Amino acid sequence: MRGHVSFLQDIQDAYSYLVNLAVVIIDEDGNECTAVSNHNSLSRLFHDKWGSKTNYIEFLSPLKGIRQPSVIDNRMGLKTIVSPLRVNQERTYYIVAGYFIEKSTRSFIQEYITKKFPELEELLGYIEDMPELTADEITNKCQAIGKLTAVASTYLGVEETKKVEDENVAFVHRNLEAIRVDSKDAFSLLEEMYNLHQNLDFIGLAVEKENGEYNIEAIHGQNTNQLKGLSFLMGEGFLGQTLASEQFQFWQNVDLDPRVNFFKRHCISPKSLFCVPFFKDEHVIGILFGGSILQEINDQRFIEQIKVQSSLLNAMVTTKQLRENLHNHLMELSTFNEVFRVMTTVKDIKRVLYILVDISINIIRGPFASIVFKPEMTQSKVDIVSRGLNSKEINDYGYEVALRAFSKNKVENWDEPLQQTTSWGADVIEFPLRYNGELYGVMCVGLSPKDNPKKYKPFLSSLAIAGSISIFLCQKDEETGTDDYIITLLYEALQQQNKETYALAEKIRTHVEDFCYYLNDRNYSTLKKISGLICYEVAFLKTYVSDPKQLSILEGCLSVLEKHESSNRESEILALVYCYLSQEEKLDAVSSLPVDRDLKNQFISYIHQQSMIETVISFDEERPLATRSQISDETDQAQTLKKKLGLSSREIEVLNHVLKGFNNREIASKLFISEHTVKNHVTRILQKLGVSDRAQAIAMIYQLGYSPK
Amino acid sequence: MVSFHLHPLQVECTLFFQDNPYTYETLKGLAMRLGRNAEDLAAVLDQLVSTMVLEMNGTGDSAIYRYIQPVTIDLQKEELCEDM
Repeated sequence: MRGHVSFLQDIQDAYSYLVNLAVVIIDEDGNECTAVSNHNSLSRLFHDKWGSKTNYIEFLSPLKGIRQPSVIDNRMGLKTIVSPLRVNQERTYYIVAGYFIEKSTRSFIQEYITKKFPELEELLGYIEDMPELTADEITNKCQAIGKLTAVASTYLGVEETKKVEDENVAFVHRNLEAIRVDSKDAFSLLEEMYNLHQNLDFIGLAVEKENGEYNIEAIHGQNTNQLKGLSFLMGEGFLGQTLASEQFQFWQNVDLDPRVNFFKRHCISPKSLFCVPFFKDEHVIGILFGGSILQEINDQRFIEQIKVQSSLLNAMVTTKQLRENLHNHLMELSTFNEVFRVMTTVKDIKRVLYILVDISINIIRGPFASIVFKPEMTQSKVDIVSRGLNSKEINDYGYEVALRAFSKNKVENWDEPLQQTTSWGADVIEFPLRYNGELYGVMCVGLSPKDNPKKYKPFLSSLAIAGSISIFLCQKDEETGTDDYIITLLYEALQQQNKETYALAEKIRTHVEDFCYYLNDRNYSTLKKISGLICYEVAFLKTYVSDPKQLSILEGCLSVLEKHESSNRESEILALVYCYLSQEEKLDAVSSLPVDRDLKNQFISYIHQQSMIETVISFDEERPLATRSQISDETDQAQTLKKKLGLSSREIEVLNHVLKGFNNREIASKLFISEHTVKNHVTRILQKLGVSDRAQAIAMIYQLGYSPK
Repeated sequence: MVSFHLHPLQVECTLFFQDNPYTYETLKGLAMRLGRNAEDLAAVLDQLVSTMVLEMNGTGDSAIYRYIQPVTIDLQKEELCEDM
C-alpha cells in the first residue's frame, strides 16, 4: 500500500471531514497505513495512550468476521465505526472512524470514566463537548464510511492488479532476455517463480528419466525438500495424470482427494494444485507443478500467469536443447571435415578402410564395425576389414553382405543404408560405399541393443560417401597405363606358368605393401606395383616395361642382393623383403645386406609386429575358415628376447607379469617368490634394457615385437 | 533434430594412432606428442579402449596405449566366385 498512500490519504481526509470523525486505515498486523485524519483533542488523547500496534491487534482480533461498516464500542463505551477493506480477496485492511456517543448515554459514560479512569480527568471535558447522535445520524455516517471503503478498495484493487501485472511483464521480459543470452537455466527460473508468487507454497520440476519414470529434480517451498528425488509414473496421482493428458491442469479442494496421496505420504497437504507438462517435439519430457497449502488459490489471474511462465520455461528448455544440438552439429561438421580431409589425403585404400571402421565404431560405440570391400571389380575376391567380430562372424556375415552387394542376386541400386540382423542376432546398419554409380563395398556398423540409429545415420551416410570418394581417388591414382596393363599381364602369366614363383611374388607384394604402411614415411606406389616382378629376369622385363623408375628399382634391388650398396630406398626395401622371403623367412638372412641400418632395424621390428597382428583367412579350402597364420610362437619370441637382451628365463617370466601391469607384490605372489626378489629381477631387467622405469621397459619390449604370454 | 557426441580429440587420437600404428605411449607421452591436456586425453583414451580401437597395458601413470589394427581378411569362397 506504501506507494498509494497519497491518494488514499486525500480521500480519507475528505471523508473524515464529511463524517466529522477522526479516521485512520490499519492493516491486519496493526500498522497504521495512513495518518489520522481530522484529529481532535479526544482522538489525540486516545491515540497517544492506546494507539500502539499491540492495542490495534487486540482491538481488531474479535472483528475478523465483520463484512461491512459496523459500530463498535471502545474500552469506555465511546463509539467507533470499523469497516473492513478487502483488496482482490487477498488482503484486508480496516478503516476505523471515531468517536461519537449515542443519544442519552453521556452521563453514563462520564460516570464510568470517573470510576475506572480517574487519571484521565480532561477526558470528561472532551466528552461534555461531544454531540450525541441519533440512530439515523449514525447510519448516515456508516454509509459514508462504507463509500470510503468502496472507493479505497477499488483503488487499491486496481493498483494491486497493475503491480502484479507489471511484475509478471517484468518477469517475462527478464527471462526472455535470459533465454536470448543463455544466462539462466530451468532451475533458477523455477526459483524465481516461487519468489514471485506469494500465494504459492511450493513449486517443483519433474524430469523424464531413461527408464520412463519421472523424477522430481527440484522443489521450492517450506518443508518440501523430502519430495526431491522422488519418482512417479504416467497415470500415477495428479502428476501422472497430467503426463497422460498432456495438458495444463488446475485443481482446487484437493486435500481430501485420494490422488493427492503422493504428497500426503511425504507430509504435504496441498489445497490447490496445478501441473503443466512441457515438451520436446511432441513428447512430454517434464512436469512443472506447484500449489498452495495454507489457503485455496482462487485467483484466475494467477492461473493465467502460471500458464505464461510455464510456456516461458518450456521455451527456455527447448532453446537450450536446440543450442546444444547446434553446437553438436557444428562439432560433427568440423569432425567430419577433418576426417574427410585425412581420407582424401591418404593414398592408401587400406588406410581409408581403417578410418571408416574406427570412426564409425567411435561414433556408434556399438559392438562391431566392418567394411566389406571389393578391390577389383573384375575379380570375385572381397576384403573385409573388421573390428569387434571374431573370425567366424567375419566370415559368415562378410559372405552374406558380399552376396547382397556383388552377387547375381544383389540388391539393385543400393543407395540407402539398410538395417539388418546378423545370423547371431545383432542389429546392424549397412551403408553402401557408392560413388559415381560404382559400388565399392559396404560399411557395416553394429548397433548396441535398444540404441536408436536415427541420430547416427546422417553422419555415417556422409562418412560412407566420403569413404567412397576417397576410394575412388586412391584407385584413380593407381589407374593403369600401358605399363600397368603389362605388369598385370606379367603377374597373370606367372600365375599360369609357375605357381610356386607366383606364390612368392604375391608374398613379396603383400610384405612390401605392409612394410611401406609400417614405414609410413612416403608414397611407395611404384614399388608396391612392381615388387612382385623381381621374380622375373630384369633383362626380360626391359623388353616389356618402359618406365625407367620401375626398372631402376628392380635393378637396384638386384645390386643390393649382390652386396652392392644402393642409394634407392625402394630398392633396399624390395631387397630386404625378397631376401627374407626367399631364404625361408629367416631374419638372419637380411643381416648381411648392405642397406641402411635404420631401415634394416625397422624391417626386423616390422617382421616381429607383423607376426602378431596379421590374420589372413583363405576360403580356397574345403572348410571356409582357415587361418594362414604367421602368429609366431611365444617360445621363439622369448628366445629372441633372451638372445637380444641377455635376459634369463626367470627375468622373462617376471617381465611377462610386468607387461601385464602387475605390481611387485602381485608378481611375487604369482611366482611364489619374495617381493624383494621380484624387485631385484625388475632392477636387473631395467639395467639390461638400458631404461629407467617400467613404462619405458614396456614400451621397448612392445617395440621389439614381443607380447606377454 | 537429434545429435550425438563425438569428441574431436577422439578423432584426432584415432587418426594419430592410425598414422603411427606402432606407437606405444603413456598418457603423459601422448599428451606431449599431441600437445593436448592429459586430463582431456584420459577420457578420450578410455573411450577408445572401450571401443577396442586401442589396447591398454598396465595401470596408472605407467599404462601404455597401443593401436589395435583392425582384422583384415580376404574372402574368396567358391560359392562367392560362382555367384559374382
